[in-house]
Amino acid sequence: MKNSSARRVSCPECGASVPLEHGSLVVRCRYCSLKSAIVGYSSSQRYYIPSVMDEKTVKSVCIKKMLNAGLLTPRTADRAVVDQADLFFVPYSWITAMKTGRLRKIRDDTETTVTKVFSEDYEAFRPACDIPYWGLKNVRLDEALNSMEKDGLMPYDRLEMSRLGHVLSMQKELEVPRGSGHVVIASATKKLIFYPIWLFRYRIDNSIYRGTLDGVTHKLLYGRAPQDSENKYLRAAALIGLVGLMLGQGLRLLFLAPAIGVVLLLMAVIIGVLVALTGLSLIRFNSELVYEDGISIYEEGGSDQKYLEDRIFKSLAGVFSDDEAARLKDSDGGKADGNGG
Amino acid sequence: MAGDDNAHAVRTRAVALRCPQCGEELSGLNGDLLFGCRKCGMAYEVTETGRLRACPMSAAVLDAGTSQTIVWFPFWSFTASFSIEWPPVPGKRDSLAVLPRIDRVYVTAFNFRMRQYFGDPGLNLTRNQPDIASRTGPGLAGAAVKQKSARIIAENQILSTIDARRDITGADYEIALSDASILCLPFLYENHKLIDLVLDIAYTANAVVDLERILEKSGGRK
Repeated sequence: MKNSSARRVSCPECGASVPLEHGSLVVRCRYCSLKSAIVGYSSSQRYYIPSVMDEKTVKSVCIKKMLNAGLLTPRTADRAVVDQADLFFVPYSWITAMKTGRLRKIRDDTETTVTKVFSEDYEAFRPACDIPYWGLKNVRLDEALNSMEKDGLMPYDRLEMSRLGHVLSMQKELEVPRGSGHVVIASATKKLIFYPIWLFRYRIDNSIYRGTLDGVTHKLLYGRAPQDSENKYLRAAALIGLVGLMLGQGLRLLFLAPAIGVVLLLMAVIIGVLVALTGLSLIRFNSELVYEDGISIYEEGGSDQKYLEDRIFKSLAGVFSDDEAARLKDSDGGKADGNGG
Repeated sequence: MAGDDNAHAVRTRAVALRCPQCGEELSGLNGDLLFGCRKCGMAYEVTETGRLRACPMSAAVLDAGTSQTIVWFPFWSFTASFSIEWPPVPGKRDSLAVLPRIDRVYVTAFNFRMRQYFGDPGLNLTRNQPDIASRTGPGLAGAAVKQKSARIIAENQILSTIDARRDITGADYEIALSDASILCLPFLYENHKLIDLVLDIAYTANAVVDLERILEKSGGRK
């Protein structure tokens, strides 16, 4: 950031030094007012999308979203208390281009080669920074743009964005692919979109969990929640009771009607093995549910919350200015120390 | 001009956006590759070496005044001629399919997406070959396709238009494009739709990335 903001060019009219801002390919000299285009400086144009939700809305909808996603049960949702929601502008690389050319392909019915001309959009939208456990890959720009009534892309405005939330920096950028043979990628443009993502934190009993919400479509991107222990006890009791009953009946019938007894014993063993192999997560203690890519899955043995915190803050350190990282960590107030799985 | 933030293959420098003929400031958006002079009716492509490459610029004549919002989008326009021959197939008579008339090719010069769903405005114009009366245009805004790219797209548009009538497999063809110019065409903007006033085809407004800024700069609001 510091290097790029120090980059300057000379005004072709008066020779004054003109600073180059990120994404500015047209500049105006503040001394002679000459408008100039910058060549030899490849910088993605920058935009941001404002969030359609405020902190209060996020706090009120996130539990409902987790409930709908199957991450929380009505019982755990009742005990969940949301105590923090922060807005982050996460950079995404967005490439739009036209892919056009001639393709030779073999026609199935006659096995002859035919030439087809095609023109189609080429589009890629990927996070430009690595943050684990935020579900960043689940953001769909098209869904966001279609959900907005008017053009939702705003010109990059660092001051305004900082006023609204935390602004993350770009770590990596997508490259425009090259065409091959008779296929060309024409009129490619590369943009950097700062996308609004809400990171919320909630408590259930003494444990703290986190999740992320799409700031435009309200979609749950990532979430983590404890398994509902009440159901767990019921499931465990039911399974143990069933296996025990079958074992007892099997043993009793082994002497009265050996054929039925053997079958029952075998069934008890099979159910026991199946539970051990696949159904263990249903009765496991301290397991967590993790929501990502649109599905909720059990995570074995629960998570080491301290490890997750460290990984997130380590990755944030790469995309945050130092003062913002400190600000975020301070706002957490070390509450995460007491986390459990 | 897009690429890696740290790439420095060409020396970074500023090129004055001033009309070489009349000295007026050229119009265009941040990120555009072409800038226009409304007074002289010329568009200038900023080359990677820092030169301004000129080509004529005009706009379609709008039939009647309107109180609605009109936005002007830039298209590359070329005079086209082509010849195409298919190799004779023994025992088969030559196809009687009539080849399409393509006098002008239009290439969408602004950032347009979602072609798969709504079609491409430039290709639709090429296929329909409308008669467009032109005049000196409004300010140029949103032109983000270089002439070099536009020529590749134009050639493929001609081939695809022919292919729609007769399979081009195995054909030998020659395509010549001349008289490159920028033509700004009016679109009606209403209910989040953009209606091409030349062909009366509607596109979703979401297909244009910089719509709000093109609206402001192209002097479209009436």
